[in-house]
Amino acid sequence: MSESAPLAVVFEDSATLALQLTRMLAELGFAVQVCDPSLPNLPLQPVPALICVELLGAGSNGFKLLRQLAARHACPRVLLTATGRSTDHNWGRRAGATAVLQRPFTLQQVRACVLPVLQHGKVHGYETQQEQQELHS
Amino acid sequence: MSAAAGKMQPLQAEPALVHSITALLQQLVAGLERLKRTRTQSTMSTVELVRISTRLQQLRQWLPAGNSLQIRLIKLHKLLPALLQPQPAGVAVQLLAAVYEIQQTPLMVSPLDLRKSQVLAAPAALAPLVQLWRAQQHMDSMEPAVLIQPLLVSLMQQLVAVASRPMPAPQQIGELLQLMQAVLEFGSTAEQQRGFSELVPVLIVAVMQPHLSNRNQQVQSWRALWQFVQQRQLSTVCNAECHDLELLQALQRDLDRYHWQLQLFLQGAALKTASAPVLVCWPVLLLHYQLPWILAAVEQHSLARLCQLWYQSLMVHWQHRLSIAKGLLALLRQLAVVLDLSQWAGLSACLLCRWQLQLLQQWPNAPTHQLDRVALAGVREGDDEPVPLAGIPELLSRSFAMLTEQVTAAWFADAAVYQLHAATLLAELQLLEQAAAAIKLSAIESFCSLLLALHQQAWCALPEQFPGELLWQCHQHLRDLLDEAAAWQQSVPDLQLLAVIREWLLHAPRPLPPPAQAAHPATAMLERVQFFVETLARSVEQPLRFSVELANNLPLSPLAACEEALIALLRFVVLEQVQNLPQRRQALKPVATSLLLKLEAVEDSIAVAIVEAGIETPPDAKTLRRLRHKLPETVQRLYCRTLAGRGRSFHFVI
Repeated sequence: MSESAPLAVVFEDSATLALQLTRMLAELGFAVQVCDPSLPNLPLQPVPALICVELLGAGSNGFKLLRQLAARHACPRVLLTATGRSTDHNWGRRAGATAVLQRPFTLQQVRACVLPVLQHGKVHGYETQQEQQELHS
Repeated sequence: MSAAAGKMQPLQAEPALVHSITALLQQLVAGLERLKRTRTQSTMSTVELVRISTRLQQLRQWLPAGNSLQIRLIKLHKLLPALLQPQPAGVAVQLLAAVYEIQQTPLMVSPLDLRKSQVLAAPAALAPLVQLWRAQQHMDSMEPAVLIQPLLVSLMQQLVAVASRPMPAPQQIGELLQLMQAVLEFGSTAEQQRGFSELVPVLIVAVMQPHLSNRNQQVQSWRALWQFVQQRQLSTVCNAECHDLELLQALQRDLDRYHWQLQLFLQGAALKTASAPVLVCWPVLLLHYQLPWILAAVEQHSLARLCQLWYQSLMVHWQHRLSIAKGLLALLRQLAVVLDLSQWAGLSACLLCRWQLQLLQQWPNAPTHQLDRVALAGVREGDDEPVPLAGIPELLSRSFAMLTEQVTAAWFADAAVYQLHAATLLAELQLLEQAAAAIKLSAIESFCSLLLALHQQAWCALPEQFPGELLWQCHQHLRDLLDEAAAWQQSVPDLQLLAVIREWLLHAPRPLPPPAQAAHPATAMLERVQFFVETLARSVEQPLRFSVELANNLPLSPLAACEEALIALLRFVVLEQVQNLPQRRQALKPVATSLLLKLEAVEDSIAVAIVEAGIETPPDAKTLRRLRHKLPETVQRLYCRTLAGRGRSFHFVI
């Protein structure tokens, strides 16, 4: 991963799911940092370009976490959910999610979800040539 | 158990075999007795058939290959589907004859030394039918496949009908699929049976978890079943192995966590007495929420589908606080064993399919009142139209924008700013209290009640006593509770904060009346009444919000009698609220109630109204008469009227 790669922070307590998402985001050009959702401390430097929050984790609540993060960080925030409930989408957006990603998702779906969000959120350091082309296509 | 294994342990096998055969024959005779009575219309219940079929399969496994009893059992097994639908007499007689033959057969199984008297005790009832069979021996024998084909089509039609309902019953789906599986065992090849086992999980996803598959995939699943029923070749579902070491290591960490947590839960469940309920705990539910996606990430889709079904089942238990049945706990133990990387090689699609069907059959019965409608006063969408209970979470997620997004610390910075927003804030809180009661979110309901009481005191508190910081803390906490409820987690109120609120309420300074009323004796009288009502409500643990509207020009002469009447009437009202608590709970109404006392001057008299929110049933005539006798004689025109959707009110003039 190049040093200029934008940082994505993933709040997920399952090692498997964190690894799966890390690989997808890495393929989209992000440097990824996985954080424990029950200890929501974000790195100060570099500033995250994207935050992904799993709705349910041990000792954590994705909505609450989103509110805390939304109060401190202006970057796009994606809520990950697997419940299949439409209420998650409504409440997630009200809690501060810029987008909601429903499991199961593929790389294409992550790309489709993340790119418009990033476009809207004016990401810092999102400079991969391939992604620039996709942003403008 | 294989035939070879059966031979290796004859001494242990024999008593079990004798017992099984005896029990089976008793079941068959009972079932066939019913068939004999109404031979052309009768059908055997599916449950009965599955039970008998299973027993027959067990018996076959016990017996050495080629044993004459085993051959006859196989013949009988193939005929069993005939019992599921009305059949011509000939088929039924064939079946009865097969049973009769089996009853005679144990005599020929010399090495097993069966208890002849026990086995032969039953067949007398069959004798007339066997005679009939002997008379019809020329009848063409029917191939089992001829029976199975229309039966599968009929079962599939039933399955489609059940699955098309807005809320398909998992037990019915499970029963129909299990029946299809049982029927297939009669006349299908092992390959066909495996094909069906692979198809079942896909179908369950289409019916039970439609959000996990798109419309096209659902149509494909049904088409695959239809093709299968038509006995066409099926494409097999490939369960690719995972060779990604990093992913497997991550998986192992997740599975270790799963086993550790589940063992804790199962050990706890094992320690409980038979009557104690085994409730799903949040960590276990959370594990099953994650498991399907963890397993799907390593391409174990069959296991993932099984775990997805587990999550749904545990979620129903969690939502309705249902106890997990013993059978389900046993299945959960099986799942824990299977979720071990070393076990996966031995897992067959048939086994996973069987577990899914067992899980469906043990689906908890959630209360049906979930579909009832509940009237929420002040619901903005649809005006007076009651909200379906099932739709309240959706309503919650779309409403209460003010509570979750707009309320800021600035609203509580001082009393003057607070007064600008208080009315709308209170209306929103009252609506939330009702909605929380309707969906049994008792933590939110009780916190709302307390917060409403706090607001009521804060509303009339002096600027220097205004509890702005406490109110802001409470609203932040309420938002946390709502976030927890929205994620379907258990909302737990902050006990420390609750204690602070109660303490503040207990010592909250009484609002000073306006100068025009301060010196009026009516004000002192009302303070005494209010003290009485609040003390009584506290002593009977009835959360109550009491407020007063007082006119300026009340006549003095009836005040003493008015106080006596108010105390008698309010005592009745408060105590009746306590008595009616179970009914209010049943009607999904909030526990807390509110009373508004209005006093107005009517010439030389005082007109009194007590408005009671939440209770809409007026007392019967007898109770009202008794109540009338407890009031001073100067009380006139006591009556009660109901306020549609908003409660009831008592009125009198004194």
